[in-house]
Amino acid sequence: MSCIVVKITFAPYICMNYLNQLLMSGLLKSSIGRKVAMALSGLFLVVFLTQHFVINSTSVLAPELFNTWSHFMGTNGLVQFALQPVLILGVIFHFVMGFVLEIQNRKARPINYVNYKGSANASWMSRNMIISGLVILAFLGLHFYDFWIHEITIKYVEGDMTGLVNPNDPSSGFRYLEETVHKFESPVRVGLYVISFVLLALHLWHGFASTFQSVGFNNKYAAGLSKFAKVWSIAIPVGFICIAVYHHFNQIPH
Amino acid sequence: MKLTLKIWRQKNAQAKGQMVTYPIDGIDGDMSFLEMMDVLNNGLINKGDDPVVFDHDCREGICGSCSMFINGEAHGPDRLVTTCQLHMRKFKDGDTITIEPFRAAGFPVIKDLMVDRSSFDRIQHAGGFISVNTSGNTQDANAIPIEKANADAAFDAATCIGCGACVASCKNSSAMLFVSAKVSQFALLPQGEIEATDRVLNMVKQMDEEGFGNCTNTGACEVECPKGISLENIARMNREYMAATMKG
Repeated sequence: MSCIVVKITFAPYICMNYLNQLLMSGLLKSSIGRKVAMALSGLFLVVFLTQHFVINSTSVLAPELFNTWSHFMGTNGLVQFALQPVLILGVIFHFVMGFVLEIQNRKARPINYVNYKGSANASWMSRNMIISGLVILAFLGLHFYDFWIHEITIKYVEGDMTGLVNPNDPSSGFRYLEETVHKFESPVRVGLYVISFVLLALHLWHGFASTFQSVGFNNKYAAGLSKFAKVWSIAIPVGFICIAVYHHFNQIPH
Repeated sequence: MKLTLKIWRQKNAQAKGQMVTYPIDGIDGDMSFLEMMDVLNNGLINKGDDPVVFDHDCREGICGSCSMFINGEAHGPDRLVTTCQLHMRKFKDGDTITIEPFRAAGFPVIKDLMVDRSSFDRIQHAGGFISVNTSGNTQDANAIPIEKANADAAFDAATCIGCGACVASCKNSSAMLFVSAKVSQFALLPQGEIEATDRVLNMVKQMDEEGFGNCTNTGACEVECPKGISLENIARMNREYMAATMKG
């Protein structure tokens, strides 16, 4: 078990090393290779976000189902030791590549313009992906602290894999929903979540739709797909915000 | 029309430049922007000052030589025109106009507003051509039938004049729109298919070596392009590049 904990703890470090090697290799040496890789990793995170939202929505719509799914996701070997590391790798890849691209892009204009009217030809969202991305990254730190580290500690450090409120009392029921709802008791935390999801919506507004352009998909269907991406980019973050606000106002007594 | 011009002055490639303010009077709305610059330079020469150096050639929007960054935009506030076709009627009496060179690591400043865009030439040399032996066996132009839609798209791509406004406008100084136009004009035609793999790989490699930034799909290049080159060309180049990489 301790071996698993070590592997999970060092997963980001292992991923970074792997990523570094990858960056030095052929495909990511080219600007188009990096662009396609950024788009595909973003698309992967979009798929993950959809799945995350579907599960979260059950915490409002079907609380029992939320507990069941949370227990499954938290204890299933395939999810924990195959999908979870892939997801962590995907997240790390996306933000490290984001930083690498930002540094390269800044180098490409060593002297800035005195007067640069970016708003004349491009949206705020497209010009400030690094800002929205950094806010999302900071949010991920809070989110990991709130849920991931908490779960890892209970399951792999304390060794409680039951998922029960009282591990010695099977009638006490699953703890997941109660813990989730309690996380949204603090208005400060809910505020931070809301701000982060607004920035996530802005990030996705540009990122999701431009994924298709990056992978070379620009034909008669592209406009429709881009519209779908923009609707999705607003709907999913707003949905997450609604869930957080709902739990804030519908607390379960301690 | 009375104007205040704030112009980037830089003695040579190594010197540190700065913005210098010049008041100017008697500008007519029907003058082109370059004619206004000529009036300024005449005044400077008459006073014994060094005239402002800027690129220009045809002055009819087809050579791609003029290259100023005017009030925060490449070729100024008008759309689908080069600086030489921008008219002073686009400005108001009393306006302050900032004029800077195109800025990018791939476009180093030579002097004042003149930049070295030979990086575009080197990208072209890397693959922007087809190899045809024309000595004595030149084919009729219409010998190979070409679908109208492809011929039109290839022609649209070929209207790129290589001015570099795409690089200047892009927040990342990416040259993707230029390179994609040059890749597309051949990729869409049967004559270009033979060297398609090497062309896109070599041109993208050269583009990266010249120090241009990465494309993040802001679309600024398409908006500022005086010839209206479409972002579709970049998507096409991405497809061509991925296909070429898989072929090896």
